[in-house]
Amino acid sequence: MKNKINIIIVLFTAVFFNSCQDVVDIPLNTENPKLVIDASIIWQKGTTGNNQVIKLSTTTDFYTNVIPPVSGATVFIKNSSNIIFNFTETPNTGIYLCNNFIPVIDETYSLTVINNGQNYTAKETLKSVAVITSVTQEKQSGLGTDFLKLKTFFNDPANAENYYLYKYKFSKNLKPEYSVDDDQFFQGNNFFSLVLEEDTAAGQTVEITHYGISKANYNYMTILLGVAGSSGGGPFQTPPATVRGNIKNESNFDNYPLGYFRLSESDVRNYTIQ
Amino acid sequence: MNAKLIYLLSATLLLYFNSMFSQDINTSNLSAQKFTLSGTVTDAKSNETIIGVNVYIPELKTGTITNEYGFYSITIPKGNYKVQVSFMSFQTLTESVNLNKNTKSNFKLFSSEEQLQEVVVTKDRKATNIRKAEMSINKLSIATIKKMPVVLGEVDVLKSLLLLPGVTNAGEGASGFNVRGGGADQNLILLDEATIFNSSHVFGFFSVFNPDAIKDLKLYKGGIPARFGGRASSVLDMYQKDGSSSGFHMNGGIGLISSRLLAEGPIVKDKGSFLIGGRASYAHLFLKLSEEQKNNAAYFYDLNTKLSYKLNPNNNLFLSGYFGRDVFSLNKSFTNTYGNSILNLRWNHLYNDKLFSNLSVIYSDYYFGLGLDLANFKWDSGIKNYNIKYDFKNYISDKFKLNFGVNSIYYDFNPGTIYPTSINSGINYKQLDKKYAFEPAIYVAAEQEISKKISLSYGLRYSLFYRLGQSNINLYTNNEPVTFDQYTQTYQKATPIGTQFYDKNKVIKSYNYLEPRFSIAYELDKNQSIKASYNRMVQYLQLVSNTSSPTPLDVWMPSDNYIKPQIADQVALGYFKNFSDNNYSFEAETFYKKIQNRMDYIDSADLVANEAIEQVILNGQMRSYGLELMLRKNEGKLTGWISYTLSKSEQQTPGRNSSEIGINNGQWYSSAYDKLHNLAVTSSYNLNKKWSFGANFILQSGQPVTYPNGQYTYQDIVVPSYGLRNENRLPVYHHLDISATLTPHKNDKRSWKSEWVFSIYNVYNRKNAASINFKQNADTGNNEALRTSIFGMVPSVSYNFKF
Repeated sequence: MKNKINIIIVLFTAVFFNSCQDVVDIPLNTENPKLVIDASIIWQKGTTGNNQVIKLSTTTDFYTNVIPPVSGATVFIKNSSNIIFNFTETPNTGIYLCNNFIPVIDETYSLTVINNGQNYTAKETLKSVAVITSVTQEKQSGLGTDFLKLKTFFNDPANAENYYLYKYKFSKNLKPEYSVDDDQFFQGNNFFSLVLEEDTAAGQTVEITHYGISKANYNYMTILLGVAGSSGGGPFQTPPATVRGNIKNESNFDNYPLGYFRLSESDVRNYTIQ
Repeated sequence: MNAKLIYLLSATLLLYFNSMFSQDINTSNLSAQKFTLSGTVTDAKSNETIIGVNVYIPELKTGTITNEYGFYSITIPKGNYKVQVSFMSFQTLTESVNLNKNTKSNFKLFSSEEQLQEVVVTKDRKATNIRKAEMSINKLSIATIKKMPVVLGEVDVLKSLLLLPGVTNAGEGASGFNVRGGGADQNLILLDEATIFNSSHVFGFFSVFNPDAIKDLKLYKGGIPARFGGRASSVLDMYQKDGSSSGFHMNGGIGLISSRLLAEGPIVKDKGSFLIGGRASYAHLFLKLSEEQKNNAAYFYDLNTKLSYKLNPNNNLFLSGYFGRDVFSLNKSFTNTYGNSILNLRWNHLYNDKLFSNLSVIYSDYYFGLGLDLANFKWDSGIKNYNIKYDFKNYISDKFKLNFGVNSIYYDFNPGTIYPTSINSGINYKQLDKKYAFEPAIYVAAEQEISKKISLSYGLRYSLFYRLGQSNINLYTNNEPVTFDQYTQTYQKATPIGTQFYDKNKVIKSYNYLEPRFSIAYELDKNQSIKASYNRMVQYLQLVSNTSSPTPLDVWMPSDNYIKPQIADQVALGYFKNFSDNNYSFEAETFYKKIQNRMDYIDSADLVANEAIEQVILNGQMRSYGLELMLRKNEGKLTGWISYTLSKSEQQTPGRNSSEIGINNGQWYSSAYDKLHNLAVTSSYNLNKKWSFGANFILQSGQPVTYPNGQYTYQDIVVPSYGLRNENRLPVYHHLDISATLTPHKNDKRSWKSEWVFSIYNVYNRKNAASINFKQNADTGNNEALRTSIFGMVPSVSYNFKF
């Protein structure tokens, strides 16, 4: 619900302040590179979940387009019965693959990454997600331009705190759009995720994914999405800060890595715009 | 114990006040040589009382000034005097008074607008008051404010404050203002003694105060008198006009954004008057013309009302009201309404010609409502407060004045009510826990002239605060709603281990503080003096906002078990000089302010609809210090001032124990309102009766911000990474504005008077950055810095009239 207030505020300020934005040249300092661990284990409903990917990279100059990969690291995940799932790098890509992962809802896993003699670890639980029941489409006019409004419905499980990550990837766009939600205001109800998109046409497709996430990851993603500038700025912006995840550097406390170790069940719908 | 103390103090006050009834007898018996001259000073044309008028006895080189209700009283030896009554933009009145008994003398002043050009304007009107122990106070007349060039021609009372030394804001389109490096939430904004919680329309573009309805305003930046309390940094004290009791008048104006109309007149001639003023914007009407925008609305309006009635020479009644709203609506799928309302009944009573009293019963509220048809729900929040104040001013002698009073405020906070707007909404009804609080206070203050050279002003305020039930209070391990995670070295929300229920009106937490206030003036010679002051202010209400300037969404909340009241201590030292026959004034002040318990937000705290704010807040501290200089030209065709402030404002939130790092690694960092340099120049030039011109120039250091020091990708999201807080600054902020006022000649011969105001805001079209956002361009995939600037060059014209 909160995220819907945010969506509206963002839209509103975008309409309000749109005309007064321009790109400027601001020189920036670059801090020493930090390791970034993108360890998102996704178990899509109806699959085995055996194939998983972990990406390692570093921070870099803000204006560059090249993200430096991190090669030659040792990466593995252990479940609570101490079964080890190894991730092997596709050489020189920073992409580490595993093909024998065993996902179990509510099981706790631990991640280990060893790079340059530093030992990074994290612990997290695999969270379930409600099934997507339907998708509706409407036209939203009067916001300056016309928007396509999609709502993706699901039944929030009663008597449980649930946290959601929603992803909408429009075929016409380079990047997906994310938002997060918690069920505080719709506990046990039939509810929906929402997206408003400009410049769409019938026939284009949208890949809609709902992920179940932990409360800690919900907090992390809330901050991350805010910092990532998807909030569009304007007078409501919050002071940005480093977004620290759940991964710890066991060897050197202060040289902490960025990124997150998350395990989610997901449900996907491919929708064609009418 | 506190209740007992309050009782004791009240009893003492009552005793004192009883003894005042017999003052008359005492005076005539004990000091037969002295008599009291008292009365009110009014505008001859409208009978409107005037605040701050100098009533001066040249023979004795002593005098007094009228209070907030136009009343003055001075006790001096028997004799014949030529009393001088003077006030800016009025002709000075000199009247012979033969004082051989206690005398009531009401003075009427004529506006200098109505005088002929050749009449010599008496000096000594705007010059700095050298003798009085008050310092760090700025007064602005509405006439001065109305002549300043403003954006879109909307005369703005609050924006004009930014020209004063020590006052800044977050830039264009930002609401609120910052006084001596303090937060916008630390300003007490009073309209007819009622607290205004949100001072702006349209998210900060315009202020809620209709300039036509305002009589007087005074900004206290330091040395704050004991009668004020409740905010840490400043007091903006504004009064609405009473309305003319001599005849019916209207005035108004037509501008690009809004139009104003105000009517005033007698209810009972020379006894009772009314004033009703309205202002509304109409830009949204143009939206209706466009097919695409016809279902959208964005407008604001406000209504000022006042009824005044003079029951008899010793009793006056005032009923004042204000109601204002902003309304936004996007195709009915999103509606947002917010605004303030106040209602205030006041009773002025003169117990005798030395003891003036005012009793106020005040209601004020702030409402914020959000309707999201898109998601089928409605959201309401707000704050209500009920305030009773009883203030006394006792003019004991021309050398000693005593002020005292009591004040108690009851607050009712609604952090949020969520309603589903349709049966199949999917949103459940929810009332976030309401919060209640009670804030009583009692004060005594004196103004004393110790010798020809030294004047003092000192006082003590005793304030108490009770956070009351009914409420459920979260309980936490070790009483810590924020935990420090050693694992990631970050602060995180704690999970409550339980809740404790407090019944209606049960005290959840109480605080009490003594707030001493002191200032001294030492007159070096008749043209220059030095002054020093100290004040302690305690602020029990907190504004939950992590943006640099307030937004309508911000929530006020009371101090409680976890969030402590802010305690501000400020010292200031100043040098004041009038020269060239009072044509010029020079003021220099330095200050140091320290605030304990300034709350700070843990990294990336979420504040919207947060039911447990204590989980994202730590109590830190704040300090600011600086030098303020102001050179003012008081008289002549060209008037105005140059003000310059050099200051620093910082905050720090260290770890609560040695194992914690604190916010921002526990280091001091620039607060969002730290402006190292602040230069303001304002001037007005009266060419002739027809034309006058005005110009403003403002230059401020850029606002402290945090720029990224790198980037990374996570799940295909480009994320900027950041270092410590507020280590960068937005580009320097400056703009030049000019205006020209045309008063047509034909005004002379008729009662309909009009003027045209032409203005250009930001003449050289400076694109001042309101913010700079670092993000990925969705089309190109490249990262870029995106500047949001609000106003470029804005020309405007408005038409004002009165009859």
